[in-house]
Amino acid sequence: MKKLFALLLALCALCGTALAAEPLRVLDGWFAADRYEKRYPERALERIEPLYDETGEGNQNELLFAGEWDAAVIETNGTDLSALCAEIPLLDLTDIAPEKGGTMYPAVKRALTCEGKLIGLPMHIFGCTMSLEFSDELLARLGLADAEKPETLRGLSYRAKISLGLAYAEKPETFAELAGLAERYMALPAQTRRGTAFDADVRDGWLRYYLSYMIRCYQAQCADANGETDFDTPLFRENLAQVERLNAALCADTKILRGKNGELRSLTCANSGLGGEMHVREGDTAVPARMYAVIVNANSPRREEALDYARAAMDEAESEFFYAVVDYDARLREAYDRLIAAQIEQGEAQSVIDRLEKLRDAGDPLHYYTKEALEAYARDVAPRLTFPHYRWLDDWNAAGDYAAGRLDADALIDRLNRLMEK
Amino acid sequence: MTQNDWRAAYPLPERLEGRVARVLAGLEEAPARRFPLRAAAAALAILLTLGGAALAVFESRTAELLGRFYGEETKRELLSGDLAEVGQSVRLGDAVYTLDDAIYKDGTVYASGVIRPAEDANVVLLAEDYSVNDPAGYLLFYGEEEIPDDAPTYAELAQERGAKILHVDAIANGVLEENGELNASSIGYDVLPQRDGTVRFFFEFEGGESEIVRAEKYEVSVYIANWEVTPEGEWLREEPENTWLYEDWTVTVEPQMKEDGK
Repeated sequence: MKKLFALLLALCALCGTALAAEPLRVLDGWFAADRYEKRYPERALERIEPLYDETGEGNQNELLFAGEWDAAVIETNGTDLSALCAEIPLLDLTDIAPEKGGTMYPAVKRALTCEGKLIGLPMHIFGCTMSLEFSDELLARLGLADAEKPETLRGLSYRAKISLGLAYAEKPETFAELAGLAERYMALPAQTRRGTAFDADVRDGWLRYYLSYMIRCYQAQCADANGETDFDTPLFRENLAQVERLNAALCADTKILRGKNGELRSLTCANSGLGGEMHVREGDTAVPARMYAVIVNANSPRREEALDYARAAMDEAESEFFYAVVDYDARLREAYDRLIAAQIEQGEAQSVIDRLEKLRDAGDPLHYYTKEALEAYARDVAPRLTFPHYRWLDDWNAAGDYAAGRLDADALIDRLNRLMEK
Repeated sequence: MTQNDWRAAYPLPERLEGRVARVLAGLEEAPARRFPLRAAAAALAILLTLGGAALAVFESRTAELLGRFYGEETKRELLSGDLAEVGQSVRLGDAVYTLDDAIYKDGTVYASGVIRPAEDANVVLLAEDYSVNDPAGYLLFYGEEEIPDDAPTYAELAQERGAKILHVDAIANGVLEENGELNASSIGYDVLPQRDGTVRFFFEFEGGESEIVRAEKYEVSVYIANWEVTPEGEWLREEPENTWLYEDWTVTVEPQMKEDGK
């Protein structure tokens, strides 16, 4: 009996050693693995790297669905979480979520819930497509503000200081309205437009640029529950016609007169914010977003380590975008502390560090968000968030072929639908 | 300094001409001693040689360019480094790329050059970040230039001349080590369209895996490329209209190492 007991103990020790020696396998994103390694330098980690082809498409989903990982960071746009959940059992992460997920915005929680379990914890969020910002000052100066338009959604520029009193009354929300603004702008005399451009960063190739953008908006806003998009619809054709109208307006006078010292100011510009995207349907107020979230494989033999990885991944999560209740002052300090640590690591001058510390201690939101901006987000953006899943398409080349006249509308639609089938 | 200054040939400074004039005047006024013409010519030659030595070994356009952007102190710093006159050229399609000179200083390599249309080519060169609808040959991002309303755009110039528009690039890959590996990190570069239709470029980089040590010779690898652009701004880089030419050009750079060992 003693011998059997000793043998069992030895076997357990061997298994333990074998397991301990096995690295934690992670499909990483957003430097979660770096943070885990910093916190647990003695633990072995294996990073599983997706491979990407020349078009930029990677095999992340293939790796995820194969299930040979302990923890992973996924992106809701590119990965169908419901399908993954049906294939690979995912751990319920309620217990390690801030406030056990109780204060999570409903739209965020819905996107990360499967079979009643909270299977993902949110880290970072972006708009599905770029947002367009408009210059209030130029709109007013050029006489393009439309006072009759009712005020609508307030957007949030990602990682930018929010200017209060952002009047969205004049801002286009659809491609038809964007085309209308372009026509009104271009109808102004050239001398009036001097020193300005519709978009100072996009001074040619407008048809390709805005068509590619429209295709992405269309996908983000029209993909079905399975992530499929049908481009052969009156809605797509109508939006295509608006993009043509926009292009015709900008092509009417391609010469851009610059101001003093070559100055050129943008009437509109792109950013990666939330809520400023053009809609393909009138009256649509949804804010299609994509979220990076950490998940844990319920089959993982290294469950505790995988949960530690998830906790490390949450270190720099942007909780102000995901949870209704956030300690503003604490979050502001955290944001500054991270920034200061990064500046120190980069060898920044002490005067810069000192200045940041002063701003932090004074509670200055210069390098964070104002309370009012976060309140606006909670009121106007969070309830409208959607997290569509849809396949990545090579819309840039399709749009380029259309713009060059190599495809007509029917051929473009056919090409996009065939790309969806691949 | 305007772009004309560093594009033009560098003149002799007035002080040298004045010095020669004063010496010659002194020679003419000297009483009772006749200086034969040959002696005077020899004296002048010696003076000119000394005066030439008082100038830099050659005028480093790289130092001038970087001094323009980062200040006189930067220029002085660079001029204290190991300077290399290069002057090597290569043709790629309808463009000729010339690396003018390079500098090694404290583990960093700096270099600059010019891209010009090949002699037999009818092309209008377009630099990175510039649009076919931008005024040709003007620097748009430095707040320095007043641009006349009638300045033709690249597209207009090309139409006028019946020329192609050619997007051009020259970006450092790094220093080629003896084992064939590239050594570089923190590569900075810029391209500057010129009024005369050429494009100036400059770049700088440090070592990546290891520091770039001071040496008598470096093999600097430069990515050079060009492709046609339509008057509407479309890049012709996909089949069946793929005009994209590119190569990694290796240039041997041999700096004059300063004696102070810095």
